[in-house]
Amino acid sequence: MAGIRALAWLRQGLARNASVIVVLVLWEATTRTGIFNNFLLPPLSDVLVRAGQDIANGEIPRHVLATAYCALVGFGIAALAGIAVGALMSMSAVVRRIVEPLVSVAFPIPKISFMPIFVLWFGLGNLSEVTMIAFTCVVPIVSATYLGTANVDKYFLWSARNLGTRPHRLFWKVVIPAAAPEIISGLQVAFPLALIIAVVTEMLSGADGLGGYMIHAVRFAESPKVFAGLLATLLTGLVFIEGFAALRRRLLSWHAETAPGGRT
Amino acid sequence: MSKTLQVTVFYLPILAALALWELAARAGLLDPTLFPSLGEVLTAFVRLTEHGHLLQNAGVSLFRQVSGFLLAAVLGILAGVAMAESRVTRQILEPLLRATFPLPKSALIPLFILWLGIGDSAKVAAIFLGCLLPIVITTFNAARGVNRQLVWSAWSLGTPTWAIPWKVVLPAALPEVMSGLRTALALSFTLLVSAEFLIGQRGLGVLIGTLGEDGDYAGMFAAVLAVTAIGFTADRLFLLLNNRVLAWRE
Repeated sequence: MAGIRALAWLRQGLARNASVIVVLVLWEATTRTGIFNNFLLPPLSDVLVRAGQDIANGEIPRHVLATAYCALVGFGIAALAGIAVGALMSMSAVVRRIVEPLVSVAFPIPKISFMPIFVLWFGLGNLSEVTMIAFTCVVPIVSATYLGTANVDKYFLWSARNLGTRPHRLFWKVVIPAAAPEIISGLQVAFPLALIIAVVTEMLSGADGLGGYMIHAVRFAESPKVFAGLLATLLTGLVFIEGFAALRRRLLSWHAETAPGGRT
Repeated sequence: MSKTLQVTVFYLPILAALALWELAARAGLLDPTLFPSLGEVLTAFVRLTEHGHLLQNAGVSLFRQVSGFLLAAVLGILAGVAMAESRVTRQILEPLLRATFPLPKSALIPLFILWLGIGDSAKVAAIFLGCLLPIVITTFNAARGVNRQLVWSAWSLGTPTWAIPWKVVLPAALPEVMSGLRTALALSFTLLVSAEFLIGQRGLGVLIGTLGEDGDYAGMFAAVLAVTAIGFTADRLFLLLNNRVLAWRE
């Protein structure tokens, strides 16, 4: 029985990803025939062998951890600061008046252009990388938290007040949970940015991390390594995005959106 | 209150921050080697503009950004609508999108340096591919969500089948498509500046890097502010276009 189920699962998986498999097979087949320059497009098997070697000798795991560490620290700082500022904006008109124009300017600008300034201030290294990540991620988090907390259903607030809930409990027990779906959406928008910026800053500094791994590979013209880095970066992104989706389902398990047939 | 006055009042905190920056620099609170005053930055801005450095490099950068972004917008919208309207296209493209979507887009830059070198084409390609995926996905989701009754009514009123995706589905999906394009627009500038920081001979990112290496920090700050201003202006122009394009909706 288990065998049949596994086979059915495998068949479904293959059918759902048919085009990806075709592309991978074509990649291997065409590069083996030699019609492409194998420097520019090394065969998939060479890339996988290279990735295998660099995983076995600990190089790729080290870079994945370095990227994940900086991305998570920068993102964590941005999350704490962003949720605090966003919530304050919905509670205080003064804070809102000050922060709103800053956010509206900071939203569309290419924040990465500030990187040389952070390098000037903090030197090349983790501190400037983490600052850059936090600066980039904080903007969507502030904006999502503000929109979420400012638009909490007034009936929730009235009922809770009516039942005698004190202001600070009202905030933690009503406002934050009611705004949680929007806040978590903001975090889900921000985290991919953290990875994008982490990879760029590592490419610029050549430091440990997936960006550093790939840029060194380009400089030394080791093309299988460039592709191995791309695969490792893709998988790192996948793990984090799936992890966030799972965390969301867990944190919002009480919310209507996670109910079967609820809004997604 | 007039419109200009309203805008000025809204941005007053930013003007105050700029004034504070200048005052702090004059009071000697900022280390002039690390944080030039606003006045010095503005002087540097004028100097860079007069020499033509700023405009030349801005032209190079904008050419790359506009080419990559427009290419991604056109092909992305076509592919997204095609996926929503044709089962075969969807079956081919959806797994590929699902597999590549989690890639942090900046990881494409080394690949295109490897393939295309240090000039315009590598930057255009990185912007194009980086923006393409989010545009395809938002367009696909928006087009898929279009009320099918609109399609059926158009059909029964005699719209030819081939015209339905462009005459009915795309206009109905337009608000979401536009908001996807706006996100991609911001991403395009991030990819542009990142790629130019890394490698190249011309462009605003290169200019910022060179000024920094020469120790001309006032010039570096001025160039950073110029990039910021370009990104901000592009977004506001996009919003104007957005309001125009969607003006027919209620």
